[in-house]
Amino acid sequence: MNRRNSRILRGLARFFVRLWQMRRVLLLVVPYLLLLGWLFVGGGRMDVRPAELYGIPEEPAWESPDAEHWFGTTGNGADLFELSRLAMATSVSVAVVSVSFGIALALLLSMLFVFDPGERRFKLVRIVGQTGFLVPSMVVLVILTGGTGGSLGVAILGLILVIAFHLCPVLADWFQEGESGFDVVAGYVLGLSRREIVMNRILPKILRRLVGVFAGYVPVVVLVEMTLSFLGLTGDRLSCGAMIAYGQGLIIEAPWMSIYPGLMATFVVFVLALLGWRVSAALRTGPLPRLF
Amino acid sequence: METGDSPLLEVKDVTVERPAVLGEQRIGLRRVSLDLYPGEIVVLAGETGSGKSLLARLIVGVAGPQVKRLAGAIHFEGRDLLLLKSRELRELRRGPVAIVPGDPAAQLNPDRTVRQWLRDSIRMARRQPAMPAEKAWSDYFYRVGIIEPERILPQTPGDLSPLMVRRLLVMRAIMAGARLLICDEVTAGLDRISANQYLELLCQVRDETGRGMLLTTGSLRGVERYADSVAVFFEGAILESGPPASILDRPQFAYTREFRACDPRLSDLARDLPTISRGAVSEAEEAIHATASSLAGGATG
Amino acid sequence: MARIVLQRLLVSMIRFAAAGIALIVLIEFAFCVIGGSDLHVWKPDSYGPVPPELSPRPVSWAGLLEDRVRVSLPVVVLCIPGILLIGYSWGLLGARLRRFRGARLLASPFSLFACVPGFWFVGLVAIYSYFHWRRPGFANDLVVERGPDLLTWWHAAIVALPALAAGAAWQIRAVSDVLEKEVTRPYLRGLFMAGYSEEDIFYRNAFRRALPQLFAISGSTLSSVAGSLVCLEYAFRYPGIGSLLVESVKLGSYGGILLSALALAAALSLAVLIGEVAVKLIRPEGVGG
Repeated sequence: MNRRNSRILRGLARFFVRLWQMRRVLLLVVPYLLLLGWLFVGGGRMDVRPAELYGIPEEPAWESPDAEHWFGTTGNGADLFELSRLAMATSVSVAVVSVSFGIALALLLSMLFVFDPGERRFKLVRIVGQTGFLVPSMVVLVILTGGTGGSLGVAILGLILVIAFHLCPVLADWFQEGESGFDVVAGYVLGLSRREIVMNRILPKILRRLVGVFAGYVPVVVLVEMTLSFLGLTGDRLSCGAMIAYGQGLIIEAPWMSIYPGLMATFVVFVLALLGWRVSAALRTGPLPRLF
Repeated sequence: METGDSPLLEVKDVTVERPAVLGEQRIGLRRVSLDLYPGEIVVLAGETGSGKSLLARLIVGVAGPQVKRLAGAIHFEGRDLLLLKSRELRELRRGPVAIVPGDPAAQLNPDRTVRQWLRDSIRMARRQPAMPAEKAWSDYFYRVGIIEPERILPQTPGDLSPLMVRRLLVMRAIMAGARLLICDEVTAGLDRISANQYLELLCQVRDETGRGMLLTTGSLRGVERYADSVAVFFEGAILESGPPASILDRPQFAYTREFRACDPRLSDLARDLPTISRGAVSEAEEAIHATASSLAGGATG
Repeated sequence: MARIVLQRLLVSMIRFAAAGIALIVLIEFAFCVIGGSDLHVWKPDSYGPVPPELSPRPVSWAGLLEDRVRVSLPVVVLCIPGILLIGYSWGLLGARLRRFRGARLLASPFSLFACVPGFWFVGLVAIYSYFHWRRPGFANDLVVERGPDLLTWWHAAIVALPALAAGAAWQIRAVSDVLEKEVTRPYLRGLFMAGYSEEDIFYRNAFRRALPQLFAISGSTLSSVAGSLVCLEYAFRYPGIGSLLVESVKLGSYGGILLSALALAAALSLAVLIGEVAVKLIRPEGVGG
């Protein structure tokens, strides 16, 4: 066998060994990809308004669930399964954007204090965190979104702020825990600056744990987004919450219009929650504060 | 010093395996045998990971469920400790056998005062004979060298020095009627002066009460002053054992000689610190794999 | 003891005042800055009598608060003790069974239920009531015929159920996490070596030492329950303090918003005050209990 072939074979072997070593990670990532692929791929109009769907036409063309339409149809004949899927895609998108930016904001705010010396540098963060629970997060979101008459953008802004607010004390704790490690003490002894130690030693460990935070919070925020849309506080956008709210007016004529979107929502939230627990356990994220 | 006729503790050809770093099993103890008589101090000396602490934990039943016995027995007052159930081992730890761990302060409840902790110990050992009431504690305090017990009782372990914590643990062992005292890493965390005081206390307790003691240490420095017998551990086996004089002055193996020389002194700072040579290690490996691991009964005359 | 109570009371009052200021700023930001309203929260003209949409009979703001609190009280009485009882007892059991991943097993039925959107649960109950019990609302004939008292408690239980499930799931895991962290501390190994039994080690040492943290997590649990009741009461058309908030927000009634939000904040503040005083009494600083 010539040298080039053996190099290729060795490279392939290393690749498969690496895949095998990462099998646990792959077992977690693949379900995510499948779920998100199923939610987001396949076309469909994302700009459908629930008010249009749930208005009762003069001759309603709705059908109860059957083999062709698993979730039944709306009054104008649109497939409810497809609409529910699109609605969940909206909710998951909102959740992903909100949680990502919320975590980024929390990290940014924590980093404002982390370079200061002294034990009490996170004191302000902790005091504010200890006071914040008096105003529940859901109350904040309801007031914020309701004040604008219902807007998805404001809802996302509110979610970002709530997540950042609750996560800041947790990150403060993680930074302080990280500083008690032996390698950090050794770094100080060797004369490394505080900035070098934080950026090169402590921050990478925290960033790893943040992936678990992300996975843990996405299903929670999906539920909250649906709740806000149920209350009519995210505008007239397609969401399972809005579909269920409108469907409540049709529980006698077409009960499937409020049952099945909720079933889809429960299924997606359950899968995301299960994966989220597994990811945060694998990354040893630790206990997270309850947001809502 | 007089010793009893039958050994208090008899370890016979004990071989155990334990989990290693990557999860595979490896031999933790290799045909280890030794005897300990009442009123005797036996010292197990060796490098970290040589098996001396594993033996100590095996005796008191805290080695963990993953340590598996392959052969041998450990007899304490006629009972095979390796066959006892966890409840029976727990009863043993409450009274007849006491262990002082290597980091004793970290192993006491940091929120409970000394008084609460002693009361708890008495409550737990209630079935043991002769547990004293609080009024009689002062005798025990003086016996272990604590002059002002009223100052110590309201304090928590975090407020006490490492030597004081060890004194209290020895005192508790005496109060509970322990006949065998095991001190793991006997001088760990103690400065030279505190270590000497602690070893003097152990000798005093041995002389006054006739209790047997098993001490583990990572250094042979000063063993001739307190030990009745020394066993040198290497890779889970006893390389050689005997009275301190024979071990220190006429060691059979280069490993023992070089291990003893490994205690650095201030004057060593100008040159390389002493270490054990590859030749000595190879010789010791051949010895433990080729012959029986120890000379049972050779420790005391 | 008086000094501890006064100290914690002062801290609670400061926190409550800070929460009040935060609420005012939030309302101003939401309605005026983003929403573009001309009615500013600090102006007395922005407040008026109780809107008729908030109360079927003419009442003052104090009367409205009293009515709504009276309605919400059974929900709170059913929900919160249930969460604390299930959360603490099952969380403790989960920590004892940690070798068998007990916490996850025990929390799983509640965690499953927590994935169900509470407002969807409302719809399911309404549909079941209409099609199976043959009556509108959320109760069957048996309950209705027994009288208004049972019906009141029945309705309160239905509203409390989703909040209880979600709260219990989180509480079980939080309690188990706290206890599992405590049982890994090195001093417990020393107790084991000294011959303490598993029960002694867990209950008399680890659990006792973890009490302040266990009390502390109740604060966020109660806050989350208050938040979830806001949505659930509105979904069930249950005229409590939570639905008052949502209705006031939709009407733009600052009085209603402040009244309901401050009432919730006051209740949470009181609950946490009681918890903090209890912790200080159980474990005064410096010496263990």
